[in-house]
Amino acid sequence: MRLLTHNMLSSNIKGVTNGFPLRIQVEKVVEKEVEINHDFLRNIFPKIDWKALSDASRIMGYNELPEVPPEPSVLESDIEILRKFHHALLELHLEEGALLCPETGRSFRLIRVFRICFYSRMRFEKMVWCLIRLRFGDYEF
Amino acid sequence: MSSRPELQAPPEIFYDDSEARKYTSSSRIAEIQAKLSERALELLALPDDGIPRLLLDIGCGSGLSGETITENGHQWIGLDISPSMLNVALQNEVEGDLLLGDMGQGLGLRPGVVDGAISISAVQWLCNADKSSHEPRLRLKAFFGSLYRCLARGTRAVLQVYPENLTQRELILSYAMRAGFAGGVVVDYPHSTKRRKEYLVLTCGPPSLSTAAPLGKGEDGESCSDDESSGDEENQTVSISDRHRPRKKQKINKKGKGREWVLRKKEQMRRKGNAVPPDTKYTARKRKARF
Repeated sequence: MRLLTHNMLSSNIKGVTNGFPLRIQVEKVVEKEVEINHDFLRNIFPKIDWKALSDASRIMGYNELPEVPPEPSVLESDIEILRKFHHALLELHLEEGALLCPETGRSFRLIRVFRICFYSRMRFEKMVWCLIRLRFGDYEF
Repeated sequence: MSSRPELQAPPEIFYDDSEARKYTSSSRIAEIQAKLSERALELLALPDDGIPRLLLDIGCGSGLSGETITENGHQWIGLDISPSMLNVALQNEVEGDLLLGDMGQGLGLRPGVVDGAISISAVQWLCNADKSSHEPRLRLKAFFGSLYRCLARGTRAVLQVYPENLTQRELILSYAMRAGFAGGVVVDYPHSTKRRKEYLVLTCGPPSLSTAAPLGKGEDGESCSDDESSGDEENQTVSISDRHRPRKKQKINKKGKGREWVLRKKEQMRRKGNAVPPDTKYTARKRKARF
């Protein structure tokens, strides 16, 4: 998951007043190169919660983002900061780990989904097995 | 539409591994999905300045609609309830991030961050109560409420839906309006049974000029009668058997298929690995006249 998405997500558990930002538990970070688009970065900048982004990137092991948000006018000219912003926002992927709700501490695991599928197939087979047993239960097989 | 998937099983059960594979490997479904998402993006009416936006794809499934968004150069986040479908999306290495979740429990996004939302054939699932804890009205309310909150002011959400009947459409629309959305339903090809597609075009924010719903395709103004133009649309999809049509067209062609055709077909079958009798002098020879 990219930090862009992390920056948009907030916990929607009932009763939580401030579900943002979700805390990150890192297990594996992957970097994937993405083409930089300056217009997109400038456009998305006002919507990004800078503190959450810089904290999250620090947790992921990328320390080059400044803690104080840059002025929007700086973004127009400074290519270097745009590049760093781009890297943190779109290229850092949290491959494995968990997101924790900041208030309740409930964890949302990040997984490659095929594990879930495997699990559900197992459950399905078990279910079929139970059904067979039920079916034949009357006849004492 | 005799077998609506909504009536068969809850979405997370219905779209299991085999259904997900079927869904993605079918080129017909892929084409329809691409068309629908293309049209939804068109209705979204994003400003035409070449700046990529952040879109939300609700019920993204295997990422077919997401691919269209990527092709148009936008970033997206997808949400779906079926792990199997998301698994296929992961295997296809789609660009957007995927979230496993139930839209009926709210979207869980920060307010005002998304530049637009599309949803292809998903929202009608909300009208079904699959668990005893499900109350369609509450789920619709939670969904539209959270959608309204996460969209930026003045942006649009385009939801393509297959409502089962008039009441269902009204239910969906009334909850959208109650959440604060302005807009309405755009119907493409209203006279055709198969091509007819409904889009809820919702604008976030107070009603203004830009919130007027755009015109649907294949719609001739106000008239509902079957005009010539709409009749053409229908003929493409609905086949009407015509009594005056010549019975069998093959009979007109007396010559039949020649030896080359047979040989070519046999060669084709061989390449497929089928058991085909060898070519001899008897292959596709003419019968005698007295036969």
